[in-house]
Amino acid sequence: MDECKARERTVSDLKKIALEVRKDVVRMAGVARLHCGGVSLALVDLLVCLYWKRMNVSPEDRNWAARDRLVLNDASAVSALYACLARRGFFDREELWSYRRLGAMLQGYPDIRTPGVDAPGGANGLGIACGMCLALKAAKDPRPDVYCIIGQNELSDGAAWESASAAVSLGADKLTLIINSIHGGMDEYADRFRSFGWSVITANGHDFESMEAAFSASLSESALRPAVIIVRTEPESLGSSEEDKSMSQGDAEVVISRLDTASIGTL
Amino acid sequence: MSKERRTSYDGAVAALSEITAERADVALIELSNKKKMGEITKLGGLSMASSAESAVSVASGMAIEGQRVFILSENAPHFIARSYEQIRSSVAIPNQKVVILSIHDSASCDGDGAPRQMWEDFALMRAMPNMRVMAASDWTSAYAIIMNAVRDGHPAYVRLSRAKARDIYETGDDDFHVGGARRLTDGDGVTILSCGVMAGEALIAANILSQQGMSAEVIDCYSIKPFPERMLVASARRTGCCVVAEKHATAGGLYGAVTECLCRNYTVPVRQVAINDTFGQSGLPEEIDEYYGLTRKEIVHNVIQVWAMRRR
Repeated sequence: MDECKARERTVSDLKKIALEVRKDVVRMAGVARLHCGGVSLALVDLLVCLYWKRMNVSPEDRNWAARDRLVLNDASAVSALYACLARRGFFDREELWSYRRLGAMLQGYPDIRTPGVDAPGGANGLGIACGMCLALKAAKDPRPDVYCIIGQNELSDGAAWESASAAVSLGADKLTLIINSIHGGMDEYADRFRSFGWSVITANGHDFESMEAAFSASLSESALRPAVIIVRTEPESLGSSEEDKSMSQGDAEVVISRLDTASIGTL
Repeated sequence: MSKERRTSYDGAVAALSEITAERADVALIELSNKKKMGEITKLGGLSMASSAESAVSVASGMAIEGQRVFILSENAPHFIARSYEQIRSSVAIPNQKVVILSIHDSASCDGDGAPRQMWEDFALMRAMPNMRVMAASDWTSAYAIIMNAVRDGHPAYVRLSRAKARDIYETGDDDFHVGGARRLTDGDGVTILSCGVMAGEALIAANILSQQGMSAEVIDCYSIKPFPERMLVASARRTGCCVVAEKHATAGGLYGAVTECLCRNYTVPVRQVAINDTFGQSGLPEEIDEYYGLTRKEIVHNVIQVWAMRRR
C-alpha cells in the first residue's frame, strides 16, 4: 500500500533497518537463551529487502487479499521474520521478547495465527508446494507476488522436486523461490531448476542492489514462468565460537555492540 | 543404584556401539543434524540428511539382505509421520528387522513448538501390525531394550529421551523382554502404570503417596506393544484402580492399551496423566510438562481421585 515510500527508500535506509533488525534478532536469542541463529542473521538483509522494498503488504489490514505473500519454510530463520514483522508494524515489538516462551504468540515454527505470517513453515521439502498454491490461488487481479524462502538442505527432499515440476506445469508464474545458499555448490541444482523450466537468477544476499536487480529480473521473467533466486549468504560471524552456545542477555549486549561497531562507516 | 543422572539416549548409544563392534550384520542409519548426533556417525552410521521416506526404504533393503537395521531419528514427527507409508509397506508388512529409535520424548523439543512435538507416536506405531513399541525409562533399560531388539526378529519402534534422569534400574539389569513390564514398587492401594521418563515421576509420586498412607504399585510398562496384559490384570485385581502416566496424547498410547486391556479382562476405574487431545506449543521442557500436567503432582492428584472410585 505504501508503494511510493518503498520506491523512495535508499540502500542506506535499508542498511539502517537491517542493522536494527539484526540487533533485535540477537536480543531475541539472548532473551530466549538460544544460540544465536546464524541462519536468521544471514537472512536479515534478504527479508528487509523484501518487506521494505519489494513486497506490497499492509500491516494495517493484514488480511488484505491482494497483499504479496511470503512463505518462510526455513524455520531456523524464523526469528528474523518475527523481528521484521514487528518492525514493519504487524504486531507490537514487545512480543519479540517472549519468543518461544510458554503461551507466547511467537512460536518456534512459523504459525499462521501470528499477524503477518502467510503460511505455516518448517515441513522439510514442502515449502515450494505451499508457495505454489498461494501463487495459484491467491486473489486474482491484481495477482500478488509470492516469495518462498527455503534452505539449501531442503532440496535433498524429493517432495521439493515434485513441486518444482508442478509449479511450471500448473503455471505458478507469480512464484519466486528464494534458496538460501550458505554452503555454495548450487550449480547442479540450478541446472536442474532450468531443466524443469524455471528461470534461475543468482544474487548476493548481503547486497541490496544485487537482490533488487534479481527481484526485478524475476518479475519481468515471471510473466512466463516461476523464478528461482539463489541467494548466497554468509553465516554471520559473531567474532567467536558463540554461535554454538546458548546466549544470555549479557552475551546479546556484547554482540549488539559489536554489530554497532562493525556498522560504523558502512551506513 | 547409581545416583548419577544420565539419559536413555546415552544408554542406547552405548548398546549400539557395543553391537556394531561385535557384529557385522548390524547397520545404523541416522536422520539428524550431525552436530547433535556425532556419536552415531562415529559408529559408522549411514547419514541420510533429510529424507525420511528414503531412509526407511534403504533400511528395508538392508534388512532384506540380512542386516539388522537401526534408524535413529532426532525427531519423531518428521520421521515416523512422514514415512508412515514406507514403514508400513516396506518394514511392517514384510516383517523386516528394522528398529526405529526416536531420541526425543516428544514434549522436550527445545521450544520448537507444535510441529515438532508429536505425542501421537505410540498410537501410530501401535496400530501397525507386526510392530513392537517400546519405551526406555532410564539408561539401563535403554541399553537392555536395544540389546534385546537385536535378537528379536520383528520391526520395532523404541522411544528414548534426551532428558537426564535418575537411574531406576541397577546397571547390568537385562530383564527387559518384549511383552514384559517391571514392577518397581509393591502396593495394594492403586496401580500406577507408566512408561518412559514418566516412570521416574511415578516412583516419586508413589513416595509421596506412601507418606499419606497409601501404597502404590508402580509398574514400568516398557513394552507397550505387545502389552503385558497378565501383569496389569493381576495388579488391577489387587488394587481395584489404576492411573496411567505417559508423555503421550490420551488417544491410542499406553492409556489406550491399558483401557483396552482392562475392558476386555477386568474393569476398574482408570485415570490418565497424559496430554488431552491438543497440540503443543513452544516452551521450556519443564514448563511444557507443567502446563500439560505431566508431573508427579498430577499423578498423586489422579490417584486420590481414582482411589475413591476403586472397585472393591
